[in-house]
Amino acid sequence: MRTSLALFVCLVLGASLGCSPSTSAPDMQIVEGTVTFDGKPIETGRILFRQTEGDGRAYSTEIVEGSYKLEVKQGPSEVTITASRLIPGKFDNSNGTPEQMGEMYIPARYNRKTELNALVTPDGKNQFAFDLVSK
Amino acid sequence: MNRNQESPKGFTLVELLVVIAIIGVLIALLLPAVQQAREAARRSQCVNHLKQLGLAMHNYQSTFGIFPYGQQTEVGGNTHRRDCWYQRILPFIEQRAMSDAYESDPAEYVMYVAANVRTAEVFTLTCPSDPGAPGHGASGSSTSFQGNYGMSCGPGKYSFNTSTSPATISVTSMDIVGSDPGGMFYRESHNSFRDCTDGSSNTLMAMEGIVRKSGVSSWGETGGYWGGAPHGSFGISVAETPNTSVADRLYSCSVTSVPGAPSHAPCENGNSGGLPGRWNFARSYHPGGVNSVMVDGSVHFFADTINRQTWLKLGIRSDGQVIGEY
Repeated sequence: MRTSLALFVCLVLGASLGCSPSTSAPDMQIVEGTVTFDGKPIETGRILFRQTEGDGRAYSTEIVEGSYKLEVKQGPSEVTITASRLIPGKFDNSNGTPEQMGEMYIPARYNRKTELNALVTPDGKNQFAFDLVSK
Repeated sequence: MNRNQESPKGFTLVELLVVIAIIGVLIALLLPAVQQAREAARRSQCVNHLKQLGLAMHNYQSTFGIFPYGQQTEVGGNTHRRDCWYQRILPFIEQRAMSDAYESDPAEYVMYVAANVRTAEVFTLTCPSDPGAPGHGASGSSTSFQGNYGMSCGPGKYSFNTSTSPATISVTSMDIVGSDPGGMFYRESHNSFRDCTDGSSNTLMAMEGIVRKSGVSSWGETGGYWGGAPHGSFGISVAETPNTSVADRLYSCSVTSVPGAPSHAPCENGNSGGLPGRWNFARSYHPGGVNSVMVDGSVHFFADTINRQTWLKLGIRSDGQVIGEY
């Protein structure tokens, strides 16, 4: 009786071995922070971290109500931020039916010709706040 | 004999429990394996479809001495504006009837050809692992057929940094709908085997994408062959690695993210966001990577973790760089 019980417990424990959730890829760190434009949080937009060393891989996520959170490989990255808004009364007709157009209102120095950088480290808090200004 | 007298037949409750536990453990081990076998079967079906696409391209090349264009330049007043490689290879994937019906259709734009032609699903151009396939959409109408495969366009405009060894490629403009983005297929491309000087086994011909949401009217997502071509539907960019968290950028998305897809398959609305450039990246529901066919017709599985420089060199037809292992 006792040995059977012990056998049962061993079986259950043995079966559950190796069932823990696998961890994410190596060297990945959680990065989070806030993004503001002229002092106000960016409601919707995208932020992208591109490795400036190695193969130049990029990681990106949405900015929601001024904050973001994603996994980035450790090391130096350049950061680009984009956000858009609709232009009232401006339409594109290339498909035969008018579709409302928008504009990307973040200056080029934060995206196309970015000057933003971040160093993602394996230890310590990877929190980066980006306070963008229009001028 | 004594023992037999103590318990003449049958077994105790504990023995029964132990047996049930063992059977339970075995089933628990077996079930996930069975589901993996199903996905493996779907993946090999997808490999087969890409192989068919590669063979169709080779047959087209044998007939005309050149690969079809990625997409045709739109000329006002012409018929069949926005024609792309899909319409060109229809006779080579056993769709001659559809091709004949299409060629005799007088519509100005391909999205206005007869509904029975543009809504017909071509199973060979769908990936069975994609829950959205066979898709409909990505080319204005919510009913036009949307496939899973796009031709390899290259990364866009790029430059070499020779201060590192080996030289690193940086992409300066990711647009795939502009002139020559570096790959085998683009607007008015007229490439053949001689044009991929990196070698046909080292250059990508076509990759797979996913159908974010079927039955939605949008423009430009992968596989929108019936009108989405100038918005990016005809091709796939190598500017980012497979299943990247960087968003595809199209004229308009069916949805901007898919919770169940790898990296949530993000998408940006290029028109309503005022964002320049159009591109799709390689994406799939296969665990860990995407299938792709090379120009020589061989199909390979590329992991999401592939070195981005290697992926760029595979996509560019004439970079002259050593590719190495992948």
